[in-house]
Amino acid sequence: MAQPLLAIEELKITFPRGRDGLESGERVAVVRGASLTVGRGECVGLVGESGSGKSLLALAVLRLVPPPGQVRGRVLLEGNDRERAADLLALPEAAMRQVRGARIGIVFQEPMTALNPFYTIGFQIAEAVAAHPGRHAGGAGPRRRGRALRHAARAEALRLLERVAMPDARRRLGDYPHQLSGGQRQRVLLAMALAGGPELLLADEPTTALDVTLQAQMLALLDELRRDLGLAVLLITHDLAVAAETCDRVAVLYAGQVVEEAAVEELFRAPAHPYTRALLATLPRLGQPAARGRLPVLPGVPAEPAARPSGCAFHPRCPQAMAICAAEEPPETAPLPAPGVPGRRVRCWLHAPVPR
Amino acid sequence: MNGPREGVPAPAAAVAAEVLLAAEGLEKRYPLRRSPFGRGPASLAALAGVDLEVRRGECLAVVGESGSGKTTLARCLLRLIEPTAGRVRFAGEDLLALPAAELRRRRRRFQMIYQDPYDSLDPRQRIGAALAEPLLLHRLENGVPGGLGNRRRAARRRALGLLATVGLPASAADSFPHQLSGGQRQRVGIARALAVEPDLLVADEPVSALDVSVRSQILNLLADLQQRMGLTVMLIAHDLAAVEQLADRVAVFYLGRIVELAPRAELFARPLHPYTVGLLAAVPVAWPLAGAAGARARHRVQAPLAGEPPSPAAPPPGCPFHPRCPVARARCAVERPELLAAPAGAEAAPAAGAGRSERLVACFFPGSLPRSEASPAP
Repeated sequence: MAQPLLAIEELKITFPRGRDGLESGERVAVVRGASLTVGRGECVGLVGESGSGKSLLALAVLRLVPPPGQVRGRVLLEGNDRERAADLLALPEAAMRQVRGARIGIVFQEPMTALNPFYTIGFQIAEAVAAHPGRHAGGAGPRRRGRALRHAARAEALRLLERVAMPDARRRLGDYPHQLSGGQRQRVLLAMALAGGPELLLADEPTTALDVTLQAQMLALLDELRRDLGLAVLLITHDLAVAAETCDRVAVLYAGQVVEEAAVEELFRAPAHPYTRALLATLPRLGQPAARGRLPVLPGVPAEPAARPSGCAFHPRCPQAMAICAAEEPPETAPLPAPGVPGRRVRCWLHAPVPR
Repeated sequence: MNGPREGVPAPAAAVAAEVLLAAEGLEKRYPLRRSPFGRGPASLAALAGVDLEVRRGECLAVVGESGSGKTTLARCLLRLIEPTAGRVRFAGEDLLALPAAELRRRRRRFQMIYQDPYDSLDPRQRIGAALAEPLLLHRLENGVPGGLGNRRRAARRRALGLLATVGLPASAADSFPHQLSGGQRQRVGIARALAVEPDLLVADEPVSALDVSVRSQILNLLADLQQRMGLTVMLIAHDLAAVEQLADRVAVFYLGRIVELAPRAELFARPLHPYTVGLLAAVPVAWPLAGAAGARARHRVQAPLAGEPPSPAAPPPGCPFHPRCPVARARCAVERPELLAAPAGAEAAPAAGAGRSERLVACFFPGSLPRSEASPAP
């Protein structure tokens, strides 16, 4: 397999344990050694419930984890012109600023908080364009200043808005965020994320705040951008169905660990981890109503980072838990014998040789 | 009104199709600030004339995009806000004509469950006290004689019983809301609504704020309670898969109006309004998608519904859906279709097992948009 565009290796994110500002010196691991790769042009889904660490993982890739948090591990981004991959976690801040936006774009869940209410969207997109001069052919070159730069950035902003299929784009440039609908704001965010001409897009729950109909439009747009721009996407979502429709490969996160990862058809055809199986079973299926009140249920609630069960974090909820599951963490990865499907991983004692 | 019900066992509902709650021509308008030249509409219609009946014992679902007026409807029906026009009858009584004190007494009979269990509980009140409060307010401590102390103790006993009803341990009574998970909080919200033994439960997006692995627990609980207690439920939701699990009948909202109303099985098997068709096709699916159907679903060429709902401040002329409708014709742009019984022709393929249909649809050409391949059959 070719070298991946992004390789997250053994990522660990910890926060100090403590209440009321009193630190006890202990640290709580929210992400506990997660590994994940994204190939060029590939769409990888990262599925998890709240508290599983999926959003933190995205922030860690951009080195935006807020201060008391500590990040360990490696985040390798393939270099420009096939130079050696750089570990983003070891990069100086100035170099990191060249990565954010220009090589990795991000779309957040809540479009209202990600936009500045005091500026027009045209200004905000143009600002993102101007922050990455030289990324656009025929756009703002590094030498352009003042009016010329503003003019070029403005033209580019319009082009980007049209790229994300904003209806009536030219007129919308002068609108403020509050004048737009949720779906339109999300398109603006996407336009801003594309301004730096990134190779990888981190999309953190990009459709969660949207209605199903707008969600479908947004997913179709993401798919189109992927094809046209060769964009790689790391799609973070709590919705397995969204991942099923959009992604090539899906990783399932539970309690800060990737518990299963497989090609999308494989994962949904034959989920291997009991958590994945339970998630799929409990999902109401359109067109296949269960008998009244008889939806399959996954008992319990997701494990809190500060109070993780011993052994496998899922074992208290697992219908197939064995003695060893409570005692020992399952091994890091155990490739399954799945002919023709590379890279299927599962973290579960059911699929690992039990140590004697 | 006495139309036979299809397949699903809904015991309480099967007794009689008595109408518990009825809305007639319900409207809610909000004034708009007009320009100094007096152009443009003076008000915005969040609800533009809704006729709806909720029958005792049934679960009626209201679906639609955000801004379609679902929540406004619920609030008007329970008179949490005052509708601008129209009538609301609860168990035969005109709710809008009741004086405030009477209305407050009546509130015991209709309760609401809110979307966000994080916002709907007092953070400084223990769960036990939160559950006892409505009992004390409505003086429902089972006619216990004596002072407030006795009544409090009786209310607490009832509160513990309620916790058991919704599947929470008795120890939860001494917890504060922040000590509970989202799913547990939603159970508390349900218990609190049930405390006063209402006839009608209005659930506004009861599972949207919950973790995926917890949603089915709450959906099952609601279905279970409805059966056991003979509750009437009005479910407001945008998640069509959840609606399909619970509802007996479904009302589809668009721009403050009902555009389709049908028994659940018929609506999901054969939606008649083009908007319903689009809504169903937009739902992502997560079961194994093999072969061509899978590839097609995974790589949608086009979203099933283009555009966004128009602003209720400037509704389009004619059928409000016509600008987004893939099968709109000239007539749709000038004339607004009424919500009428679906014509026989459109009923060519009724759902198996369905008796006489009782479907309403507001479309000149119902059934003209077939369910596309965009929603693959499993």
